[in-house]
Amino acid sequence: MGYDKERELRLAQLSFIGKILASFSHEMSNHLAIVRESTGVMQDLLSLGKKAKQDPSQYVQFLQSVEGQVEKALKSLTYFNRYAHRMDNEMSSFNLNESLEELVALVTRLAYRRKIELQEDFDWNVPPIYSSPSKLHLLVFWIVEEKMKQLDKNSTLTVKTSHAGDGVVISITPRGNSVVSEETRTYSEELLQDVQRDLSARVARKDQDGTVTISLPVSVVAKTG
Amino acid sequence: MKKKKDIKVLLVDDEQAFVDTLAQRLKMRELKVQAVYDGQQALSQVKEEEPDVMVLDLKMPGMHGMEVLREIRKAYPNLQVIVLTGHGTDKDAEEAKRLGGFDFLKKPTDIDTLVGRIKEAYQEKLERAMTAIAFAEEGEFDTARQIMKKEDEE
Repeated sequence: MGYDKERELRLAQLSFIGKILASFSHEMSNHLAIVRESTGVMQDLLSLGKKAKQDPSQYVQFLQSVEGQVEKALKSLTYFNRYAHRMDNEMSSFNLNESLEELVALVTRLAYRRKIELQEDFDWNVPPIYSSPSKLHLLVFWIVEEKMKQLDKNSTLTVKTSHAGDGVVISITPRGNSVVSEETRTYSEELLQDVQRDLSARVARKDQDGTVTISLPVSVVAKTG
Repeated sequence: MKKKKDIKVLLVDDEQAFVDTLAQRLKMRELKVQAVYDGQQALSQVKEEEPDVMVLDLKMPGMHGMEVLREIRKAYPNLQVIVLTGHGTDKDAEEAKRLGGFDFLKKPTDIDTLVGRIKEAYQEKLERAMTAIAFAEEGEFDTARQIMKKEDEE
């Protein structure tokens, strides 16, 4: 069977969404586990009653822990909700930095497991762009995932935005030792070319420092098929 | 049998806030608890002082929990390992059982359930040790693989 763009694209999108969901649900269960243990330890202390010396500061500490976890969970939920809504419309006008901010936040746990730090270096003066937000997420995710697989522990990966003329540029730059131990690409070259075409984007790779740039026009004429 | 206070438990999880609070709760239940935050630290700690039961997370930076379990099974066959993870699939549970894990629990878990399983794991450790002693009188017992090697078979 030959290359079928729509099929490959759907499979790639499902794989991407699955990875984000798995990572996000893992993070949520960790937040809930901390909340559960913090409230549990307060129950334990209360049930000891007069048998133990009660120190009110202990309760404050555990309540702060609960509050902190709820705040972290809410922040992640906000990013996750924004990410989900990127799929509402095939084409839309959106803030590039906000879109990348949520992607970086949702991929951070995947990077953390590899002991890689994801950094943002955003130019907050980039204009809003008109493009396909979900396809752009997929394209950036492919590059970030590929770079993470090529990096050794204790490395960093910086996602930078900039703009010039009628275009915007996303740069993904690795810093650290590289490893070549597994298949790094999860997509076919044909699909990459098609996604670039749909976004009117140009992906360029710099051999010197491993930086990958994605150049995009501020406005893309909607394409079908 | 040891008193509960003498059961040594090693908690291994990269979520420090979680593992420190859980350690505190288990100590209140008279278990002797230590906590470490990654797989390498876990192996070093076991080498220094072997616990009775290890409560092990799976998805940790650096060394994956399954890798830790595999290493533990090879070198410390009597140490009982309970996997406690927020990311476990049925496949993970099967793999943990296959590698000799005592149980597979999902986060967040009820503290009484966890303490109950720790006590059962400790009991299992004692029974294995007793079996090993009994068999040792007849031949050499390979606790790692739970088989007896008679001298005349070697």
